[in-house]
Amino acid sequence: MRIDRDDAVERVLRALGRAEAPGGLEARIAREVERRQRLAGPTMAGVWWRGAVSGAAAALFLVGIVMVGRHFVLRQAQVPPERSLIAGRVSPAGAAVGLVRSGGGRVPCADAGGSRVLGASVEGRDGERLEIAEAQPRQPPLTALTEEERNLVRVVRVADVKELAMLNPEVRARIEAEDAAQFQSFFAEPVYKPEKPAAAEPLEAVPGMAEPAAGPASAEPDATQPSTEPATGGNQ
Amino acid sequence: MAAIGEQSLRWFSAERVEAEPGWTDVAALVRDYSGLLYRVAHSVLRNSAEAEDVVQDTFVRVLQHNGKLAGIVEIRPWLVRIAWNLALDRRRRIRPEQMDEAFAAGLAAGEMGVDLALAEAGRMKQVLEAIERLPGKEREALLLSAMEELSTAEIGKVLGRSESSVRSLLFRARTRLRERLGD
Repeated sequence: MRIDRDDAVERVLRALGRAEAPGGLEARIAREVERRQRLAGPTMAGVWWRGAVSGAAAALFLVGIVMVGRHFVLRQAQVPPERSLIAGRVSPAGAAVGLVRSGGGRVPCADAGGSRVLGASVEGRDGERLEIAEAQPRQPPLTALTEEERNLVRVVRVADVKELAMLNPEVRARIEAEDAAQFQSFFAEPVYKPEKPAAAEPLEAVPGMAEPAAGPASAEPDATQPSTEPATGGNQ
Repeated sequence: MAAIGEQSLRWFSAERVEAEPGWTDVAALVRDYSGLLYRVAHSVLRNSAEAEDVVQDTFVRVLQHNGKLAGIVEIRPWLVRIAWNLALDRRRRIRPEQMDEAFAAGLAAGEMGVDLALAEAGRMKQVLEAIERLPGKEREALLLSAMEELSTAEIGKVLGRSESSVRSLLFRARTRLRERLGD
């Protein structure tokens, strides 16, 4: 019985160790391996220089992108000299109107804060070109202002004391209150004080006529008569 | 134009000549070791198609390490180890027990009658199931020992064990098989 068990194990192991490979296995594998080698390239050893060339091309591409981006950023930071405004005034809506010499000479920028010119232009008198620009807040120019530009800025930006004071809410409230009081005092209705009937201006006594007695009647005038009419008016 | 053509031809010829030694090495390995690697993979998987795929994957791996072939001293244990690991990896996706019935029937087929062949196939299937139930290292040592081309030392190199350890594993495996098949 034991011999049978060992024999069975040996037969199974022998069968596993002598398993026949299917016919044409070597040829199939050789073809497949050669095909994969061709797909991988002529030489596996030549991969390194292809990788180096690809890496260099990628590096050049990245450097180009960086240079173009840097150039673009620097260009955005500068004001184009051909489109500078000789004199500009920013309207509350943010629009600036300026004159540009058609001769193309370099003119200083009028707005210290900088203006973005969006290209709307109209021909004016004497060959001057009127440009309508939309002013947008952005970074001030990197270059320093000339003496003329500084004077222009000084002229345009007048520091009015009252306007500066109006920036303070307390002062502004006080000034508004004073203005309102002046307005009220100027346009308020006059206040008429009731005059005393006879005591205020003593009349000359008419002969033969009794002098009105001072009493409640004088203190409370008759309602049928206007208060402003003197009591002696009926006798005249 | 003709000069360019000649230069290109020389260029590709040079590359081809450069590529030839590596390719001839791999082709020689395919010719010499395909059968052994197939049997190694088949002992684990017991499936002919899967074993073929393992052999092909083995030589694809060899091709990827073509430049290191010259530095490998013992090429046979190295190849068997690659195929062995690939077969074990593939074994996780298939169930070799499903193939045991057909394999056992193929073993029992012969000049004996149908009844005897069925009984013999049943015994073979029991042996295969007993081998599958062995502990991992014992089973691996036993299956590799079935390959006549592999010495005990080479089996140890494939499994990463010493020669004496492989002998011990084989002894324990056979003892356990006898015990389990005697029940």
